[in-house]
Amino acid sequence: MQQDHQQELRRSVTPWGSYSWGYADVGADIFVALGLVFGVAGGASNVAFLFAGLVYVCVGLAYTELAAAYPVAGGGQYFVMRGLGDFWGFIAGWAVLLDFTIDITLFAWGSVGYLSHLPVLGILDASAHPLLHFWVVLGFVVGLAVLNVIGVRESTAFNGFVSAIDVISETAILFLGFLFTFRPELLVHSMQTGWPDTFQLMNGISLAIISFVGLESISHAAEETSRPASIIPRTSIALILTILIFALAYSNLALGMHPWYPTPHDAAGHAQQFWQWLGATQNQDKAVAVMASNIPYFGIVAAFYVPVFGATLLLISSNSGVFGSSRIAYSMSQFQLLPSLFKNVHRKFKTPVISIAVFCAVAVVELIFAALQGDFGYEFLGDLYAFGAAASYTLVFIALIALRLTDPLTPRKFLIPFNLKIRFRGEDVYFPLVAVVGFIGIFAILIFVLLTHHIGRIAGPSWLLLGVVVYLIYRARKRLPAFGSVPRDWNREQVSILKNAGELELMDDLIGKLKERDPNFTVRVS
Amino acid sequence: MRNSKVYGGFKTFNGVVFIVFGALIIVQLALRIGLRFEAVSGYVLGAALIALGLYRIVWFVRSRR
Repeated sequence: MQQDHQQELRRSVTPWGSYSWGYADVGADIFVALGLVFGVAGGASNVAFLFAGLVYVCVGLAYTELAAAYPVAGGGQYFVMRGLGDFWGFIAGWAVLLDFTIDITLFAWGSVGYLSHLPVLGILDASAHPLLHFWVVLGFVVGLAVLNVIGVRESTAFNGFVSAIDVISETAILFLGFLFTFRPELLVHSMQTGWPDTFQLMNGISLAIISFVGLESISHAAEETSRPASIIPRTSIALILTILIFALAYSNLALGMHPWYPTPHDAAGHAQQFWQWLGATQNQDKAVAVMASNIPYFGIVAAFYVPVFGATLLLISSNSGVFGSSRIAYSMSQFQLLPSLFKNVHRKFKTPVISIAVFCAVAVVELIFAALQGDFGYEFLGDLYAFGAAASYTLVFIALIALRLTDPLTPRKFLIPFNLKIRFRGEDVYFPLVAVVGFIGIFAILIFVLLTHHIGRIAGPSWLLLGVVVYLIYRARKRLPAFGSVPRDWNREQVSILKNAGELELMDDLIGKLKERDPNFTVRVS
Repeated sequence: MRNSKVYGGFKTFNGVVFIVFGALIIVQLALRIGLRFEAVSGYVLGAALIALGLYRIVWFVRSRR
């Protein structure tokens, strides 16, 4: 017999823990995105990262405000459900689930790619030995699934350790890279000679958003963070800036880099620039390691440790996909958006075994499809990853605006800057202008994905369609509204959330406002 | 530990290093590329470094109050 695993998470995550939790997820993205973006956007890669980065700042600010105001696990799915109702909450959660399953495969693929940069493991290269590469990635995915079923996952302390080493390592690569190899004139030359056409630039921008995916973890950490309303804004703004800096620094450095070793000729025997070599198919899944090994002197050491470190970081990120998908599915089934079997836990290990098995199986299917694409397998996974992120972030912006209008009483210790004070249904509300800018940006990226990703534009919407069918059947069988929402008392739930978060001042503030609005409002706070 | 003098010094030093890096990038780009489209991404990078440095220092100063 299986039983429900419903216990409150302990609030023990510190500011550094909160930062590193997010960093372990988002920090690994540049290891995957750099090669992919250079492969399509070429000399405009830094512009692609800049566009996606500015959108990401808006997304990050939105997540910061929402996670601090509603500190519960569930992330985008929960915010959208509160702001727009059950159906759209499901769509956002289902899109995030696509991202988590892709995350499992994409990062396991990248992990093997980085290992293949080691001279002794060159046999793992996806271009040279695709079948062996496939089996090793499959082994990683199955291994992570087993580890998650038996309940082994990385701890916050381990994440903190890896994040600290990674920040130091990436800073060293960039510092020494800029010091020894960067030529501003070469940057200008690369941009002028390698500028892509509009189609490729749009494709590059849509892939660049990959380097900023993972903000969900900020909100997952929120449920386990002590005093989240104060801690989350502090850590996530530092996280947003760090990730933006890394993405811009890597892309600018790569375009203006004069490498230590001569750049090999391309497949046709023509001379090529370093950034072209970086974006070549055989280097896309190990671009940071290729860059690091081309820094004078430091490159001798980096050629050995960066691949190992990159592989570890990517494997942790892959694991967060396994863990995150099961957690999202658990949260969605709690709110009757998915069947309750996703809440079932293993009798012995007390882990959500069905969720883990189902979503790892989806990840394996994605791996098979990616492997069938030949040299474009990695890009195929990137396409889908970009689609899931753009779709869910688009809904999060709408949810943020909706929540500002419909839930003005919830105390927001962190408010996105630049707001317009307006009257809405008799109350003063602050309309977020940044959310509008962010929505336009992320919606444009979603359009870019649909326009430029041949497979992503079919596979992504197909995934959503499959989800809608599952959702409608489930809701019909449970006799729940298909497109409407199950009635919930959000005000009382919010009081309870703030109480559980230890934000007692904010809770009192909310109760006071609710009583002012409705003198008969009562709530039991024990 | 988070309120110790050593930690405070580390955090402030860190912030100053970021600001210096950011300023160096902006100055180098201004001197060698100037106000051209190709340098915009680099200027944003420099500004982001300065913002992160200031952010770290401001938070530390606030937490000491």
